[in-house]
Amino acid sequence: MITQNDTTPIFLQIKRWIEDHILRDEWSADTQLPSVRELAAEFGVNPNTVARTYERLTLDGTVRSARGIGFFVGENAKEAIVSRRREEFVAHTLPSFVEQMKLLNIEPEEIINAYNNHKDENWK
Amino acid sequence: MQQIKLFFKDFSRLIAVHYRENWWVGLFAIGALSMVTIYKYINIINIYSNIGWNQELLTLFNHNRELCTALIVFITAVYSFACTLKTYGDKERIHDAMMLPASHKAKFFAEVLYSLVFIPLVMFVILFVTDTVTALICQNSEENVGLINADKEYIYSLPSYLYAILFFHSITTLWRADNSHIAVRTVVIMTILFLAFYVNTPLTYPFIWSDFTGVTREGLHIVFNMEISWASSELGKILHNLIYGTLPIMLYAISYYKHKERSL
Amino acid sequence: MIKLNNLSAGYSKRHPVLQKLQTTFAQGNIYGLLGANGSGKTTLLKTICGVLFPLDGEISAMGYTPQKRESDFLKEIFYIPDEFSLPTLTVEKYVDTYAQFRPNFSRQKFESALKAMNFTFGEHLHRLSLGNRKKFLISFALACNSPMVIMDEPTNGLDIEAKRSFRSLLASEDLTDRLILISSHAVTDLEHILSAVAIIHDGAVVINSTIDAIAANIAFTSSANCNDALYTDGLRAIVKAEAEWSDVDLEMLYMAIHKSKDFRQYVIENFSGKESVCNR
Repeated sequence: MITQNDTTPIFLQIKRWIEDHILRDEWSADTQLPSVRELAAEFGVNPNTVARTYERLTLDGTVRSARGIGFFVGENAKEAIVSRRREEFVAHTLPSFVEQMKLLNIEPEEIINAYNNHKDENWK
Repeated sequence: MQQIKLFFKDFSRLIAVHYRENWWVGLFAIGALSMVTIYKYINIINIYSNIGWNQELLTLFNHNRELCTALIVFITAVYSFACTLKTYGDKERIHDAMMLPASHKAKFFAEVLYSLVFIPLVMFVILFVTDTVTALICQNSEENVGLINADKEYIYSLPSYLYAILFFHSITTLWRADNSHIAVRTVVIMTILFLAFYVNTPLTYPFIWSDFTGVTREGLHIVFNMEISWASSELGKILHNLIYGTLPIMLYAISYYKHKERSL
Repeated sequence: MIKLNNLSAGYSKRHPVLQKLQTTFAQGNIYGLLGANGSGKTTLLKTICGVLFPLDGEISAMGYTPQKRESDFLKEIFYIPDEFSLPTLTVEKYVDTYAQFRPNFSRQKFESALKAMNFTFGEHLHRLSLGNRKKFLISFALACNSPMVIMDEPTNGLDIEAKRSFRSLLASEDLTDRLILISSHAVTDLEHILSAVAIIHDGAVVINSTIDAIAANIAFTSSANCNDALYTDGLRAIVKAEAEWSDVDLEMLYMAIHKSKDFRQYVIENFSGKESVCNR
């Protein structure tokens, strides 16, 4: 899960992992999330890193904390994640994707075809 | 009161650490010293009692007594040395006793007790028991006189054997990978001292010999006689006891030094 | 928790391995102590534990002077050497004998740590392989729950699975009023579990800082993107931190400190603080 080769900061990798669980409906609203130390032990990372993850998730509104009890999946977490990732996609992934298209001379039609061929496959 | 309880708790735990691993060394040492005592007593009993021991066996004992006891002492010493060296000389085990959470006093006394007091203490207990048994065997008053003499004898002659064991045992507590020169020096000094007292008769004391009898095999003995005054004889006794007395103090001091000051 | 005040340490007064160290290790952290072979990592650890005496200067660990080897101090610290052998006892006997000296020893924690690291039961301790010996002592050390745990190359000899378990065990530790100080060459084994790092170079502690503080000041990135790198090895570069968090690449940090005088200077200027740097 945590790879040395992924240059994304670890705490963001963990954030993604949690968000993926929520997006896949494995953790619905108000589910209690693992404690900082539990998650740290799971991934073999310092609890500070996990704390940073939870901090970011709380700021995003994806997760809420109940003092002394733990962290819980927030209301509308899934929607919030989707909308944020959408923004990210539009702001970062799309422009660099278009750059690549220009670089490699890929026509928009090829993209549309690829999309049509794959849109019905299950999202892994 | 609390302090004393804490001390004894630490102390007993440290003794347990020593003996959990090396119980057989103590046992062996005690066994060896018991044999020394028994040999000595068999000879005394033979002289003073009416029981007919096997004459040949006793002659064998007589002539080989010194040799046997020396051999047993030597083996015990080497054995103690080797297995304590395993702990103390080995720089991988060096941290063990010294760094255990116990008070300095407890560590120090455990060291002292283990090296200096425990073994002789057990020995004197054994001797006391053997004394009582011998007293039961030999009934009449003439033998009791003999026993009183025997009393004196073991006090005079056993210490050198005891000290031999203690000496080797204590050296191993000093032996360190990077401090072997201290151990060597101590070994040399104590070897000299030990040899000076090895040959024992009740009246042996340093520098002035009287009735020195070195029996190595049948028929060969040297009698060394010197005219001595009462004053020099008393002085000799004082020196004798002083040297025997300072031996444990020296070990005591070295042990203390080891625990308080020694850096690995 | 551990304060070094002008500390010089080593084995000979004429050639101290470490000179005039002035730094502090704070609780709540898992420290990584990095340095070349012979740089003084083991010397420092041993001096902190009281195994070695300082040649000059002072150490204070939880208010105690380690050199005095007071019983109360020794209870608060556990030292796992790099090389060690164990007595001729069984696991049971060892625990019976030695756990008594540790008031906070937890039998249950000890057993679960051994199981987590896949320790092979059944042998007398002195016959164990290096890996098993390490697993044993690490489990025992963590089970003692002492405020200071000092480890010298703990992962040396551990198999991959045991290393993972070791990381997980460290991650589960409650570090309130405690610290763990690990000296290691195996940066990749420990990288993500550390919360602070101290690097020794040339007899001095060049940097002693939390990972957070380092990441707030410098970033590690691909060398293609920057012109004013503080240090670069061709492939990657160290630059001043940008808005985005970048994980601290300890190997790079270590190499930069060792290879670049300028970078060392930068580090010394920028990372003096409470967990401070040596004055060299």
